[in-house]
Order: sequence, then C-alpha cells, then structure tokens
Amino acid sequence: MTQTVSVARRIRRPAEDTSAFITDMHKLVPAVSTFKRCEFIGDSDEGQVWDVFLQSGTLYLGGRVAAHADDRRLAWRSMRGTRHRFEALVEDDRRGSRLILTLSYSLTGLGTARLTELLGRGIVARNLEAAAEEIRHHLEFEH
Amino acid sequence: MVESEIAEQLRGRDEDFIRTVLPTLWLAATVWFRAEVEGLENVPDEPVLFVGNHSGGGATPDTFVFLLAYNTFFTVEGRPLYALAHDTITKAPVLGPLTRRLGVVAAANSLAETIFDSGGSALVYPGGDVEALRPWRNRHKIVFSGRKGFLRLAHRTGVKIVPLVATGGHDTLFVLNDGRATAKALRLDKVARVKSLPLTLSVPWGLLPLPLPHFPLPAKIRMQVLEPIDLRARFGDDPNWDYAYDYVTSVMQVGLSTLASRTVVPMIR
Repeated sequence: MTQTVSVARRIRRPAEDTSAFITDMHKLVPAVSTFKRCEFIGDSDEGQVWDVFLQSGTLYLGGRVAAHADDRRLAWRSMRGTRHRFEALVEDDRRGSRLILTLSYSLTGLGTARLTELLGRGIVARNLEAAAEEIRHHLEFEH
Repeated sequence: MVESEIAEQLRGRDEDFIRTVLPTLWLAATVWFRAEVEGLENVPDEPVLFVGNHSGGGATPDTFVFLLAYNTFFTVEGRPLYALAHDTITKAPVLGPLTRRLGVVAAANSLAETIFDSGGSALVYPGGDVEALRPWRNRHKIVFSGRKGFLRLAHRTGVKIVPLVATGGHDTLFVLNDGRATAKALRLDKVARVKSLPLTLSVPWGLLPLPLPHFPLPAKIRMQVLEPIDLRARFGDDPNWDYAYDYVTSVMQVGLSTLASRTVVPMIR
C-alpha cells in the first residue's frame, strides 16, 4: 500500500522566484539540510540522476532518483533504494507563493510493513515540514 | 563571582543549592526524559540573551534540562544564568523561593539589564503562557504572539540573542485547545496577565480546564542551541522591528522543525 504525505507553506516571495529556486536542484539541495547525503550523479534520458536521503534515527530513507522539472514543479522518482515519488509544486498565493511538498512511498512486506508505513507518515511529515521551513527561510531572508 | 559584585535582586541564586540539585536533575533528565542538549559550544564568552520556545504547560521540563546542561557545561561557578519567569512562578509559595535559588527571577527589563551588567546571561521565553499552553497539534510551532520586547532588550543592551529550541516538552501533557477565548471572557488577561486557559489531559488530573502543575509524562526531550544573532550587526542602530521579529522567529522555526524531524516515534525516540 502506498502512503502519501503532503505539507504546504506560504512563502513571502513571488511564485516566479520560488519556482526558479525549487526547480533547480543544484540550488535547492545545498540549502536544505533535511536532504542528507545528496550527490549529483549525472544526466540521463529520464532527467537528472541524484542520490537523496532523509535520515531518521538508524534509518536512511531514499536512494537514487531521476528528477525532472518544469515551470513550477520539481518531481523525482526512485530508481533504487526506498520506493518513493516526490513532488515540489509552487502556486500563486496572494502577493506570495505557496509551496506544496508531497512524498509518496511504499515498503515491501505484509503486516509489519503496513505498520511501519503508518509510523513512517509522522517521520515523513516532520521531515517535509523541516525542508519546507528551510526553503521558506532561505527564500525570505537569505536569497 | 564574589557576593559583593552581585546586584541585590540577583542574590537569590544559590550556587551551593544548584550544585546540590544537579544530580537529581541529571537523573530525571537522563532516565525519565532521555534528554539531549546540543550546540552549547555556539554560546559566545559574553553575556547573552537565550531565547527559547516554551513547552510543557506549568511543568516546563525543558527549562530544567537546560539549567542542568548550562550549569555543567559552563560550570556552576561560571557565567551565571538567570531565567526570567512569570510572576505566577516567582511569587508562588514554596515554588517561588526554590526556583529563585536556581536563578529564576521575575521577568522585568530592568532586572535583565542588571543581569547583563553583572556579567550574567538571561533566558527568556517570549511566548510565555500562550506558547507553553499552545495546542499539542502546534507543538512544533514557534508561537511568540508578536511579542518583541526581547528584541528591544537585546538591542538596547548590546547583547547577542542565542536561540534555543526544544522538542518533547510538549509531549509531557496533552493540550487540547488554547483556551484564549475563555481567558479573555473571564478577564484573566487583565486581572492576572494569564492569556490562555486551555483544556488539558495530564497526570494526575486527567481532563482539566485549568493549567494546574502536573506530573510530566516521560517524553524524549531534545534541545538545540543555535548560532547567536547580533541584532545591531544585522539590523543596525534603528531596526525595523517587524522584520527583525520575523527573522528571529523564522530562524527559530527552522531550528525547531529541523530538531522535530529527528523524532522517530513521538514521546519515545
């Protein structure tokens, strides 16, 4: 079963600025400490290939991903490691913008995997919230 | 620091008493709360204003965890730390005199200036009772309610702000609503400077519409001391206070959310 977790934050910067930052992984990744062990591997037919992880205690969630971006959206899907999809979407929000981070993941197994998936929702939500706050702060105060 | 150098109002802090309670604090912090405090090496060797997020209702266990960490990291004889607290703490029978010996003093700007002049550091919780009693669902939110007095104090006295964020303190009881409307309706904000009267679930009271002192649940507590902020260097002699407030609370929100992301299972790890 796949679990999907979303968090949203309002950012006091125009959607164009937020999008330009979000859709460039070479800018985004160094500014977000929540993304651990990140490394650009290279370009492929499926997009940019990166190693990206979230760390939670003894566990590393993530792996190698293929990422692609368009105007207001960055998305990646796992190639190896934890099976997951990620999307960062930027919308207009009055005089600012709204950033929505969504991560879907699934674990392999039966009963304990389902239980771990449910417990993992909290871990993923807290990590996405931390990433969203770092992005917001960077755009509002450090950009 | 010799007794004669300490201002009259600050003489309640008792180094011998602090030394006596440190083992008990250590036992409670380690066994009950599995507490971790990181980043004390970020604190400069000068008087500073620690600014924390306030959690845990009336028990505020993370305050005692920080007193333990500070007094062992910098030693009891080192730069003294005074915690500025609400009148309901400093004037309470039994609790008031006890906490004063730990270095808790009434929250007043003039007293804070005396602390810095005497070479000490101060700890404030701008969010006060409103933040300490915020709903559990907002436990990872900085809630300072627009209070900017701490910024003006740090700027006027020229001390750096050292942000201090903590998680877990708000898992020691469950606050179901903020009760701000109730406090206002009962005029408690005018009469007793009490701005929230929340519905809480705690030991031993169970469900209670009053924030009585409770026995804290054994939640995992994490604290992180962040990099100091020099308001004068960053915002100049005449700061835009709204912008400075937004910046400091934003830095603290990032620190708190990042710390919260280390939570594996709430309360446990």
